[in-house]
Amino acid sequence: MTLAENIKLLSRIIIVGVFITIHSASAGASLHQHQPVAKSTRVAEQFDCQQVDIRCAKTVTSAFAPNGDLWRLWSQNQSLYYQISNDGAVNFTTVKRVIIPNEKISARNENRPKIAFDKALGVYLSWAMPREKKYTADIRFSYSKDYGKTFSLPITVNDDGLLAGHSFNEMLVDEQGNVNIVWLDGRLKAGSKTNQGSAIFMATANMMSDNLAQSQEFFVNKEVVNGTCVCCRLSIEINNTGNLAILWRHIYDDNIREFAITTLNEQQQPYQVSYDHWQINGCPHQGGALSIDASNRYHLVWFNQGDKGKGIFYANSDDAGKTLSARLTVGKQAAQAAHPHMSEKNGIIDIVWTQFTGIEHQLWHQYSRDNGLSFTDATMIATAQSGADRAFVVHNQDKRYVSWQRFGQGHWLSQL
Amino acid sequence: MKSLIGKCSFVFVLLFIAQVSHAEQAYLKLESKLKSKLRLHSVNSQVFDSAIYEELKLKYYGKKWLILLWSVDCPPCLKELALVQTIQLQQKQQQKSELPIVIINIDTFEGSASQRNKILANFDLTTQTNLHFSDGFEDHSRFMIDPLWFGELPRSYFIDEVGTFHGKSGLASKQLFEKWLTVAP
Repeated sequence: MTLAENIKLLSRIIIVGVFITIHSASAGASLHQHQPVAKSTRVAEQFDCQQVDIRCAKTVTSAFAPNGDLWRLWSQNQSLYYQISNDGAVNFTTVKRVIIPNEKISARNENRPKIAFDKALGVYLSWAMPREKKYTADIRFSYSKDYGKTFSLPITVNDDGLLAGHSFNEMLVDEQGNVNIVWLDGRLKAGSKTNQGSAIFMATANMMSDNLAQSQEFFVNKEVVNGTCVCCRLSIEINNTGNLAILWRHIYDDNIREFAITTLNEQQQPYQVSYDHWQINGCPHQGGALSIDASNRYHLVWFNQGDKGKGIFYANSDDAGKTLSARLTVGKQAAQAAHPHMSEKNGIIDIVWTQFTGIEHQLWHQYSRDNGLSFTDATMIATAQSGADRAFVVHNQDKRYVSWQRFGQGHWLSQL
Repeated sequence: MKSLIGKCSFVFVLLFIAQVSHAEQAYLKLESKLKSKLRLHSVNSQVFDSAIYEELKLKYYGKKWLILLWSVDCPPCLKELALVQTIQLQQKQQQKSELPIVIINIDTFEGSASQRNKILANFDLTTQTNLHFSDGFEDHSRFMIDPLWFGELPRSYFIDEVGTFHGKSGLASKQLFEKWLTVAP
């Protein structure tokens, strides 16, 4: 060993020795109040997202067709893809592309493509297509009369022709085949400095109608309400009298973001349904959920971080949201309980939501068999390691399921 | 006795080797961190992780500083970036030192990097310390910063000299930023 090498080795030993002292002395001490968490294996890196793979999707939308088939739909590379399972998500068909021209598709967080069916097995798709200017998009629609073999050329549903925000679309096809599309619309604030938030617009059409071309109602846009939050999903449901009810996050006064509800044709002014006083000039990115049972009881869940209410809440109403039951707290605020979804079927009300431990995502569930008076204890039903989408309750006839997309791991569906 | 001394010596040597090995690993970790720290000062648009986060907290310890979290999907976030741009310009005009503001973008979707970079360039904030969350670890990063933050945006953290975080959701005012950073308007 040369002298230089000896000196280098000695220097290294001294540095290591000094470091032993420093490291030992500082072990367990921290200047900071927030502790970093260990990284887990990055699952998404184990496959190629240039290829079509549901594991790469940020969102997956699931729905059961009237024949009992489960469809799952996602967006990748400016296309929509789907798979069908006829055995409750055990086996799926090969991935099929919706054969329409490629275009941008919003598919993340609160904003995602939607799928619905009519009783004749017509398949309906709607999504938001981002436009060339920031925060602008169009609501798009395509349908299939042959159960997915072919899809119509997409059309733009918003009829204003403006380069404005049209997004967060929800779609519901009723028993008569009426396609209801409801979305957040920025047309009223285009050029207005005083207009606060977005508006809700809606449009209907009936693709089963014989005189479709002559129909005056073909996606004619109607304003529902103005002054809504711009980045939270809507929730829609048909009530017992056949009217469409809409739940959304509204902006009250000075950026107080509370939930509101209206039932079309039944009231002039919306009802405010939450009073948690969440004042935020920003984007909560958390919408609510609405489900209406056979007795016309409206069931609601929402999320807020106000100074009068933090967390997930459930309540119900027998007068379309005018008055509400005492709210129940759902999940653990300290465990990051968020993104609730809820749906009622045959008297059972299922609520699902996510929690996060700092290492893993958890999917939680609780349900009520007494019309929302009380709920079972919450149980954790699944976990995810590298990110998770919002979970949704879906129904197949009388059976209740939860659908959950886990980034990198893939789509998961389980009967509740 | 000789055997006992021999065994003890052997155990001592093993312990010494283990300690040196442990220290060597820690040294290499520090070396890596120092290199990373050097990188932090010269390069932006890095992935936010625990090592960088710790380095930032060390760097600013003893000073007031800000963390601003934003998304390309959040219109009020862009208003907040515009505020930072204004304050940064004031600093430059007064030939003051670097603004103690760390900007973190939370987006990881397909194409988000180009959108993020375009927006930062538009607001002339590419030289301001800016980081972004990594795909699959969005919530881990969020939780690391604040386990009581639910992802609403924009989200600002006002961090004082002793490292206490004060979180605020929603667009903050220019006056609040200036007051915290004691920047003359």
